[in-house]
Amino acid sequence: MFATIFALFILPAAIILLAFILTLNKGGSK
Amino acid sequence: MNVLGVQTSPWALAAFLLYVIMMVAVGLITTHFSSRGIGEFFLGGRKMKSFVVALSAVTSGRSAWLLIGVSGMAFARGVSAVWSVVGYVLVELFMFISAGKRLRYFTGQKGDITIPDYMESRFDDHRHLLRLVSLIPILIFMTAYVSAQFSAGGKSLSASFNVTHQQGILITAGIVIFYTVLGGFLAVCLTDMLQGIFMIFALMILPIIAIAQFGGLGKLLCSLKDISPGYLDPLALSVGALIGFLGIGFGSPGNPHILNKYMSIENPEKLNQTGLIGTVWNVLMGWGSIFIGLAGRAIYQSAANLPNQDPENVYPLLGSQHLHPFLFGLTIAAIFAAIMSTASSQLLVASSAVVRDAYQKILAAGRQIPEKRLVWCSRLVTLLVSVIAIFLAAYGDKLIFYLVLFAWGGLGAAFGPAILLSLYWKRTTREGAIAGILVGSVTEVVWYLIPSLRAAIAEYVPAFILSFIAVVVVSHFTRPPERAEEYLRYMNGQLE
Repeated sequence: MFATIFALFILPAAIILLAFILTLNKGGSK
Repeated sequence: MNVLGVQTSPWALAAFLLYVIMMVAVGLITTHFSSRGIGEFFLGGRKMKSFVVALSAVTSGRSAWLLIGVSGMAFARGVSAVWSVVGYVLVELFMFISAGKRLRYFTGQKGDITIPDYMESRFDDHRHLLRLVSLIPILIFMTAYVSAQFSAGGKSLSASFNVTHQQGILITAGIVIFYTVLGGFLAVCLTDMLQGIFMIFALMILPIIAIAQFGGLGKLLCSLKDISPGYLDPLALSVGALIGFLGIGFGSPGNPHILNKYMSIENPEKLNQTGLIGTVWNVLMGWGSIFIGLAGRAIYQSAANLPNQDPENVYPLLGSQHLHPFLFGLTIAAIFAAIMSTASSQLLVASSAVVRDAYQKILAAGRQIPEKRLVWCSRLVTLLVSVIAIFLAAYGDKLIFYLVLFAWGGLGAAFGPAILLSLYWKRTTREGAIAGILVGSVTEVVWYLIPSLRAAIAEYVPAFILSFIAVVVVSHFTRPPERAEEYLRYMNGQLE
């Protein structure tokens, strides 16, 4: 069941969090 | 064949007409701006705002496949369908915050408005060889793609209203032609943005209401557990299938109708926040579609209970049975939003390949052509490409089927590695880029035609990898452009 919860909820949340962190890291992404 | 019953409900019809009126209004409002010059018509004068670029880039990359195909896949195979959205979401995040930004800085500095423009500038290709090699597949695949979208629009219209498939093609094409010919890139981006709002609304409201009416998420998951042992297991798929799903993302860096959205932003530094908005949109839409499939499976249990026993009908059926008719009309409008946002973006790229790349930069090279004339020429060619696409949609179904089969992955494999390497690796050469385009295109087709290879792994994955290797190997043995270091500084935002 954990794998299901991971794929349906944790994974999308982690991707949005990653995008948020990369957005904050403005200087490093050039 | 009106199987969805939109026409029988005035509420649903009103919602659909509201959508059409909005598209037409955008076309009218943007006509004046897009008439200023070819840079405005094909790239919005590089004046696009962050939110518009974010939604436009993600919606033009997602056709009806997202609403109909992904939900159908989730219905049929379960949670493992989630990997079909993970790949492109991550690749497009990277494109927004890094590769797209470098592309925007460079093309802004050089005044490039198309991908062949970029390829020619990046490699100082004064003989136009790279432009020619790029524009031909772009023109063919984009026209075929537009045609497939018109055909999909025709099918959806004939399923929703009392019109034939061919009348549906004409209505879909008519709306797209109207706003694209008049308003050019600005109209395409603004309609993409509105269409993105329609799509996210439909993809969020439908699963939420359907799951709530079913009795909640816990009850849904319990019910799905009984369907088959692997239905809720995200890893219930072969390694080849997993790589194939993730590899869908390889299409994003090579499809020019997505790349030109990054090139159009006014402030390249805003691409970071654009990436966040685009990723949130991509995630909510992608997972929304997955949840629609899962909710549909719990409710209908088997594809035998869907119209035509087709899992891809789960989205419209769920909408028609669980939403107020007005909201159902909006979910049907969202299908057209997905189709039209892709079609109009591709139409403009096909037209730019003719007017900007073939005519202005090759056939009339060195001649000063008034901007107004170029704009009118662009409108005429956009109309002409649309007529060809309508004709192909109505009479060339088989040809379109094969061209579109190779379009997303083929463009990704042909252009993706060359573009990515040219943005980061100063040793990339013109010959390397040409080799990558050729190897990627040929591998895509040959791999597909050999059934044993195709069964092992989807063709776009090896095509992308071999194209990447071809660019690296050939570049090693040929001379990079003299100004490569300077060009990479442009990409870092160190402009002159």
